[in-house]
Amino acid sequence: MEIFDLLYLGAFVILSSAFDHRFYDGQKPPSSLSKEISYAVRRFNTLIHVFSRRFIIDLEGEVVSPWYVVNRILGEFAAASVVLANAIHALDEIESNDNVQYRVITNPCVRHIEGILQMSYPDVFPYYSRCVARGHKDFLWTGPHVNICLRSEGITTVVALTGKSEMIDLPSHRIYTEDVDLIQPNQTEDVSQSGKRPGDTLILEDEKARKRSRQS
Amino acid sequence: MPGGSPHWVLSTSNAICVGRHFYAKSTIQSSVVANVHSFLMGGSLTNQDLPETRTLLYQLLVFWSIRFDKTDVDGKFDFIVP
Repeated sequence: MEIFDLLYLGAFVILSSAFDHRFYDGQKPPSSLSKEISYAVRRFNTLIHVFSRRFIIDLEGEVVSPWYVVNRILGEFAAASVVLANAIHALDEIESNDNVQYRVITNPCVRHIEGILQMSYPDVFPYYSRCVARGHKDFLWTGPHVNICLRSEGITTVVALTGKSEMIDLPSHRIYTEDVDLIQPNQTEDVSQSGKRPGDTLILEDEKARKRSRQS
Repeated sequence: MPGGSPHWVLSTSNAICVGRHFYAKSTIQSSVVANVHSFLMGGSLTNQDLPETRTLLYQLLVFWSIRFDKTDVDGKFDFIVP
């Protein structure tokens, strides 16, 4: 399985209720369907967590958290969907043909997508909004080439020796509104232990590697 | 044929077609994008709305997740996450 297959499928599943007629028209969707979606999303989050413990991601020479890639894909995927929906809506206002009646009403779909992001992925919502504002049209990854390396003590030490640590946000293309990498070292442990960024264990390992090198 | 490929059916006489739709791993990226397009464009893009096939995508994600949990980095089933 290619990592992007997994990430696109995950992004789609997260937003899938917004692309399903069973969630519109005042209908109450089957509870089994909602449970199925939430279970699949939980499994996806678990999978990314396991992935981030086994691998590191290198983008343009920067080691970034896998959650950066996940959140960026999610924001861009959602934005591309909304831009497309708005374009169809604008086209419907110009054209008048028989097919219009089969199209989904744009506003509920956009509200649904934004509701999912605001409720479950509030960190991604500002980036999504920026993408919509600039008319982002790409459903697929637009970032730099993704290099995936097996996380090992050796590579962790090498990264530490270069004076870098695993970053939460990519400096050349930030997706979070705050500079999340400007966290003081004594705060780093708290953030990692709270589970806010489950993939960012390399920062702690970085600190440990420095202590080890000082002792030796 | 990946999802989202424009196509049409041509027959020399009236016909009832029997077949299957399926999701292929190799084309999953275009399949999920095509799902969004189909939903947004509706009847102007497709003649069939198949929401029940979503279950296959949910199950596929769960299946990949479980498989990833139980394999080592080379994809062999000899490593189990405690």
